[in-house]
Amino acid sequence: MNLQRQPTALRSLGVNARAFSRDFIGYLVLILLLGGMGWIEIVQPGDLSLPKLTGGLLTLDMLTRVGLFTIVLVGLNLLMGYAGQVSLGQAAFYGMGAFFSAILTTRAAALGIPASLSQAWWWAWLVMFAGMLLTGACAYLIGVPILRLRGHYLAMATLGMGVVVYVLLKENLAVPQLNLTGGFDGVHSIPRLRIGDFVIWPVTRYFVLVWFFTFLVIALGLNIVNSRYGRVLRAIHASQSAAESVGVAVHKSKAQIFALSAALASLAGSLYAHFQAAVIPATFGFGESLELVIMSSVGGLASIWGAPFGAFAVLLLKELLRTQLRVVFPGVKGEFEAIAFGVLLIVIMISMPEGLTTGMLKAYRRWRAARVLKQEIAESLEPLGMK
Amino acid sequence: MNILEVTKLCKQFGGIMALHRVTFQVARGEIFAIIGPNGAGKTTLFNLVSGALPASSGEMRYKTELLNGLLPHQIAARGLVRTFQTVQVFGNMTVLENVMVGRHTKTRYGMLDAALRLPAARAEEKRLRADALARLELVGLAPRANESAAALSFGQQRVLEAARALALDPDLIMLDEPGAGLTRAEVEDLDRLIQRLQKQGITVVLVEHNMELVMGIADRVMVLEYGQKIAEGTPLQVQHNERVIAAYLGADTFPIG
Ligand SMILES: Nc1ncnc2c1ncn2[C@@H]1O[C@H](COP(=O)(O)OP(=O)(O)OP(=O)(O)O)[C@@H](O)[C@H]1O
Ligand SMILES: [Mg+2]
Repeated sequence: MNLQRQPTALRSLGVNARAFSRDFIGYLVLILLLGGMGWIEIVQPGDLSLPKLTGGLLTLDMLTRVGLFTIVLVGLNLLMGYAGQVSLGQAAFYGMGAFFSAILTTRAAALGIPASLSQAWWWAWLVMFAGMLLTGACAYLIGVPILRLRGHYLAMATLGMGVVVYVLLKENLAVPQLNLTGGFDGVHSIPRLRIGDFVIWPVTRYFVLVWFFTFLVIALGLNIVNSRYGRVLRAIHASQSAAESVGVAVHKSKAQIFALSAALASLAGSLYAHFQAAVIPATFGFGESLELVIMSSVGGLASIWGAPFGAFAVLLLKELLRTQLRVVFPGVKGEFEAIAFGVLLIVIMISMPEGLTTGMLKAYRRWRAARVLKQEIAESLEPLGMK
Repeated sequence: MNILEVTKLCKQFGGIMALHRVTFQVARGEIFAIIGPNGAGKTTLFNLVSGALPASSGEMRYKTELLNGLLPHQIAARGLVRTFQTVQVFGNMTVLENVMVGRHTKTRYGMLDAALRLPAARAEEKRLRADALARLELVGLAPRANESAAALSFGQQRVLEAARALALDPDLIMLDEPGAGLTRAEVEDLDRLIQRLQKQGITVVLVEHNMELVMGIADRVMVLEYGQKIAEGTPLQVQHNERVIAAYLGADTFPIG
């Protein structure tokens, strides 16, 4: 009995250590990559810069976008990868955050908000936070009925929700007199974020800000995954009836994670608004929702680390196609980008159905296992003199 | 005193009467077995009592509280748990994590505690791990705590499912054919486990086709056929009941002894 107990205790330590070291490696890789690229761009050693080094492929602008998408994707991965609930309307929440920030920082006077508030440096931050709460609350209310649906039905319902929000943004929330969302043209002249008098701009500063939030969100996501909430999400994914049978309030849990993913999307939306200084509804339509799902799948659905790598891989791929396709095949038109993008996606998903992160991890494990096996065979043959 | 009282329970699926006016009581602390040929309505009975399906009519009471209309998770939280005939472990988790989910309702820390990994969350997680490991120890799965639940044999998955249900500290556990697919040795372990549960004061309702197991440990047996109760009594009484023998005529599982 004692003999049995000891390895159990050791193994339980072992698993923790593995999870810890995996996360540690994730952080390390990301920090080194971003830190290195940020450093080159900010310090510009020996007149080098990121665009010069990479032929215009990598810019701080692009890396900032990766950060923004990562924030959305962490939420989406919790929802889709862990809980198994599809959302084809996640861009709606992204858009809600973006427009909430845009409207309340540019049309405050029209809304009767005193200048003493709306001119204060912290106003935009307050709006960002309020936007998260509001979007989260909206998602909870929408989520309670629609998350009862499963599979394709849920996909259709979230898709419908995305369309409704998109149309509302485009049609001025159905009250054209106020012209809050600016209709098709959207809202522009959105102020930069500030801390006191310190303006978080140009992009070098904004890049640091966005990635500060991104790391925070990744850390929170990892903590949730390893908590009672994370386990419940996976339980729901595996068997809803079994989860219920042990006292898990399945519908409530699903609505909660939907709300959390929406709040994260809203945060990213707000940060996007202050990054672009202009927002238009077209950015937050079905195409964007689809792209988010693609990034999520490419990175690896059931992994928080899939988020940054999925976002990076897809943005890089699109940029590559945009700039290189014409070099390789002169005279091709824009549609070929979309076709090539689609074909590459299919190739990626067939070769690594669990996404890049899990796929590469598995490939590495296979490679290591093969190497160990080879060594073992060699060692066992040695005494026989059969090397 | 009765822990479970079912009165004139009916369940209709379209034209099929899966259960018809079934009435029985389970006393606190006993091992109550439900047997009957395939399609007799045993699993349906579990589905109704556990809240997975709504009853067509009739009444179910647990500790005098009416169960009709309660949701599955509410019923489980009251200490009435069930396992499934078709095993439903969480294959995407480790064995230990499966049991930890079973103890979900016994943990309190909030989403914020979890996201920030506050001391409250960490302390509770630690206790939760220990509690879950203790349940695995009870059923003999502790050495495999950190393996994927999907890697367990069929029989072990059944045992894991029981451990997961036991993690709730239930007062009443309903086991749906826990012996199906188990090896002879595993059935003996199961037999011992059920008796140990009884000693701990847990009431066991058991649906099982293995008559040797049933007749060996059940205090009372109820027999269902075509959704109706045809007999009830001690194992000995049931084995000598004319209707029961007729119902099982031709079936090679019964009678024994
Ligand atoms: N969800 C359902 N929808 C329609 N019919 C059902 C449903 N569940 C059970 N039935 C029917 O109800 C009857 C009783 O089925 P049930 O599964 O309760 O039997 P059982 O006694 O558990 O049988 P077994 O020993 O094979 O497990 C069967 O005729 C079955 O086809
Ligand atoms: Mg059955």
